[in-house]
Amino acid sequence: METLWLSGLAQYQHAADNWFAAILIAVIATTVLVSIAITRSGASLYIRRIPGLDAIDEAIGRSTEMGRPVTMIPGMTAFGVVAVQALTIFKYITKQIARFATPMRLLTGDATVYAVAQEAIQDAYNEAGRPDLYDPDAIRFLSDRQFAFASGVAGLIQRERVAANFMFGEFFAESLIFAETGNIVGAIQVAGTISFTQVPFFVAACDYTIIGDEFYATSAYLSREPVLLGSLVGQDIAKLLFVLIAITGAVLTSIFGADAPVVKLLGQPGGWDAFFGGGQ
Amino acid sequence: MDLQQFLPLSLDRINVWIGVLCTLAIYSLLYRENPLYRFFEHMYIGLAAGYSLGPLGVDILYRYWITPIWVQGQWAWAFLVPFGMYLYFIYSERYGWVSRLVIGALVGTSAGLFFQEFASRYVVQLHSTLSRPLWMSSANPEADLFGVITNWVFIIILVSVLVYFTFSYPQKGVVKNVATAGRWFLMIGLGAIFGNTVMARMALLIGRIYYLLSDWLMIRI
Repeated sequence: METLWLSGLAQYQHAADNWFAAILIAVIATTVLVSIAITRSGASLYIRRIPGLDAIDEAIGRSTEMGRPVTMIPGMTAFGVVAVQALTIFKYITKQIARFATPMRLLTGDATVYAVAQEAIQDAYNEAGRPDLYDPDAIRFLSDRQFAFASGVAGLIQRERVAANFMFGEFFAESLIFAETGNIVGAIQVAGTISFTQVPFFVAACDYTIIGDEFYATSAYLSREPVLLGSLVGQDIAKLLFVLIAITGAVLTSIFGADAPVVKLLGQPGGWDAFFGGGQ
Repeated sequence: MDLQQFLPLSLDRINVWIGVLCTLAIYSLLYRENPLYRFFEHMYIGLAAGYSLGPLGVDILYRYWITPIWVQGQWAWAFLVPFGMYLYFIYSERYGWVSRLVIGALVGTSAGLFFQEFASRYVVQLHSTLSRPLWMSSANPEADLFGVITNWVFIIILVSVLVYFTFSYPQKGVVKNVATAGRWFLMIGLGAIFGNTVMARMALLIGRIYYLLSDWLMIRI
């Protein structure tokens, strides 16, 4: 474990590998669960509105006026938490465009996301009271190969001259190809990603960019689902806890040194062995 | 230039010419969407679909399913692929609920793995952050002035960016100023990433131009 720790490749499998991590996770999980319970009990929680959210409605309005399609791209996002959050945002967009019968295309590079997206979009049309507008062909799996997918998306955006392009999910080197193609056809573009290295390209080429954790806040704000709202509040508390631990730890390090037992308690593997015993 | 060597009259030259045709056809999108691009786009997607079958069979089914069952005798893996195929029930109105078992398993696994990732990645980062001295003292004999200043910059940026990424309370007064500073720090960081990646992309473009000039047009560079 010591070697892994020094190389920065620590892989914690059990609580005993790093008791501090286990306790911190338990505290954060409890905070999130309590926040969800509070939200479910009907308490009204404040969520700061992100400027990019206004852009979503603006872009939908513009595509409706122009009668041109809206594209929604979760990218190569594999099915998981990020994909579910992206589909939550796409459901909101679909419900909005269903009111005006604006055409849409959802383009994905992951087969599982494709299958789930079909169901999610159909649900969105049903909830909007326009099940007749649902077209299974509007949700397309293009390719699971990165640049084949990128060429397919770029071609479709150009051919259909989309008016609004929404990109939410996890993106890689193909991000700029999507954003630049959307820019060429004059689409209003709103992007949101947790892929930190791709954010600069979206900032450069899109009208609005939702950065990092704002992505999760967006889906919570739009869906108003208690689980998402409660999670967001819980995460905020966790972030403030992180700030507190970081500052306290830095002060303790400055006073006692980095090798002091009190500093080791704050996350160093083996720091809690005196209390709970060590891992493997 | 020797015309005989330039024309696609050998297998090597045919390869080069096909590569050039593909490159120019895909780049033609920069001008506008056109039938040539469309043909190569569809061909690319088709080839990718065909190519995917190879890794799917060899790298996934053979390595992670057939080998454990037939070579290592771990027969329990036999249930895995049929379970995965439950996803296809999504197309059945009556049995659509079965597909949700697979979806639930995927989301649950993804969420569960995140706990491990959190501990492995973020707790390590947190400890690395708090192990930095903010002033020189006898407890930290190796700390120097430059290091201490760097640590202050690091902590200030960390705190301000984390404050920017909080959403559950109104950002007013001092908090708003800290969050605004966090946004600025973030933009400076993103600018650095942008510049770095643009340089990498330029290297790719230069590689393609080199291919066109050197391999195709046979111009010595």
